[in-house]
Amino acid sequence: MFDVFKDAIVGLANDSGFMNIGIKEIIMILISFVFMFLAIAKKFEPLLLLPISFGMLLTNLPGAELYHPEYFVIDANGHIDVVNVLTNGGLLDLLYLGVKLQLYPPLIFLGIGCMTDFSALIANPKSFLLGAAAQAGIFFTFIGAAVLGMSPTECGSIAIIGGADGPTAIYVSSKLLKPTDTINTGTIALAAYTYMALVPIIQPPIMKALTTKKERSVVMGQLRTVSQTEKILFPIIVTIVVSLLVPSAAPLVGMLMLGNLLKESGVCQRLVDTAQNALMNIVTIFLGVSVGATTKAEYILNTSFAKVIILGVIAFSIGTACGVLFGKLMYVVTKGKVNPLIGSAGVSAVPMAARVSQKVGAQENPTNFLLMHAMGPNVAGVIGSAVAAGVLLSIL
Amino acid sequence: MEMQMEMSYVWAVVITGLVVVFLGLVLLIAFISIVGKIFSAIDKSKKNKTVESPSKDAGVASVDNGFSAVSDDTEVVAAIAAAIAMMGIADNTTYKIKSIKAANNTRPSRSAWAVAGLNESTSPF
Repeated sequence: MFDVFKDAIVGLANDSGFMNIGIKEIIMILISFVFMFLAIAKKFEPLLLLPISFGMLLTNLPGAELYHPEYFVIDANGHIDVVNVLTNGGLLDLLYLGVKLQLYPPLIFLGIGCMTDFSALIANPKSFLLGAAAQAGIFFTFIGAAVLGMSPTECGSIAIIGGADGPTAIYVSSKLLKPTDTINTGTIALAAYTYMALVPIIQPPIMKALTTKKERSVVMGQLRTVSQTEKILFPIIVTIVVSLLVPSAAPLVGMLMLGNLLKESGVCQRLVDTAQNALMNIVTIFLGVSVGATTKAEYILNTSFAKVIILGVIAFSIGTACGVLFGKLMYVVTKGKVNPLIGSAGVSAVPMAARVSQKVGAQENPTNFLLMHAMGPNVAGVIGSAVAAGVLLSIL
Repeated sequence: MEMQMEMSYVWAVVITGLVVVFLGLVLLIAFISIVGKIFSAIDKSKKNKTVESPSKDAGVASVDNGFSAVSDDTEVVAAIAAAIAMMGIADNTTYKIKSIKAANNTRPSRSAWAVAGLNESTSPF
C-alpha cells in the first residue's frame, strides 16, 4: 500500500505544472499579469483585455491542455478538422472554434449595430470620406510590414490593426493567418485592443501638429434632423451596396446593419435588448478568453511580436494623420465650414476617437461642440474598416 | 528582381484597397445623399401644406394657444408640458400653459441639457 501511495504521489508530482514549467511560460504568465493590470487598474478596454489576458495565463500553464494550436491546422481541402477538435479538444479549443469559424466577430458587430446611432452620418454623408481616409493607415502599414519581410497574410493581419476595430482585426487575422506564421490572432488582438485604449494618448499630438489654431477653432453648423424612415433605409442601403461591391465584407457589415435595423425599426426591442446585452457579453467572454489562449510563448516571445507592436502604433498614427489631412482638404474645399479635427475620428474606435476630437477642439474654443459632428466619421470608420477588411480578405 | 516583384504586388494591394474603399464609400454617399434629399423635399412639402391650411388641424390648436411658433415640434411641447405637470405635482399647484415660443437667439448658445451631455461624454478625460 505504501508503494502504491508513493507511486501515486510521484506520478502526480511528475504530471504537475511545477515540474514542467519553463522560463518562457513564467515570462508569459508575468506578461499576462501586466495586461491584467492595464485592464483593471488603468481600465484599458477591460471588457476584452481582461479575458484575453486571463486566456493568456490559462494557456501558458503547463499541463492544463486547454488549447492545442495543432488542432487548427488547415488541411488540403482548406478546412479545419472540426470533429477532431470536438472529440479531443480542451475547453478553450472548443471556444476557439467560434473564432476560427468566424462566428464571434460578426455577432459582436450585431450588438455594436444595436448600440450605434448613424444619424450624424446620415445627416452629413460627406463624413464617409473622412472614414475612408483614416483607413489609409491600414494600407500604408501593409507596406511597412512588407518592408520588414513579413508574409502577405502577416502583413494583412498587422495592417488591419490600423482600422482600430477589435472584432474586425480578429476576424481578418483568424481567416488569414496560418499556424506556420510567426504571429497569430492573439498577438493581433492584444496589440489592437491595447492601442484602441491608447487613442486618447496617441491622437492629440498628431492632431495638433497637423492643424493650425484657426482650423481647430472652426465651429460647424448644426446637423439636420434625420427622419426615422431614413434611419431604417440606411442599414438596408449600406448592406446592399457594400456586399455587392466587396462580398467578403458581407458578414461583418451585414450583421452590423442588421443590429442597427433591429434598433431603428422600433418593433424588435426584445431582440435589441438581447443583442446588445446578453448575447454581446457572452460572445465577448468566449472571444476574449479563447483568443487569449492563442498567445502561447512561441508567438509572443519573438521579434515578430515586437514588429506587431511597432507597426501597430504606426498604423494608428498614419490613420489619424490621413483623417486629419483629409479634414484639412475638406476645410479648404468648403471654405472653412469643416473642422479638420473630426477627420481623426475616422479611425473606428467608437466613441473614443470622437471624444478626443471634441476635447482637442474644446481646448481651442470651449464653446465648440464637435462631438456629434465627429460621430459621423467615427461610425463611418467602422463601415470603412469592414470594407478594408473585405478587400484584404479578397486579395490575400 | 524578386524583391521588386514583391513590392509591385504590395503596391497593387495598397492601391486596390484604397480605390475600393473610397469607391464603396463614395457610392454610399451618393445613395444616402439622394435619400436625404428625397426626404428633405417631402418634409418641406409637408411643412408648406401645414402653413397653407392650419385650420384643418383642429386637434393641434396651434394658432389659438401660440404653439404655431414651435411648428411640428409636438414632442418638445409634450416634454415641456410633462415637466410643468411634474412641477405642479411637486408644488401641489396647477399650472396652465398659455404659450410656448422658441427663443430667438442671435448667437449660438448651449442649453443646460447640452452642457450636461457634453460633460458626461468627456468626463473620462
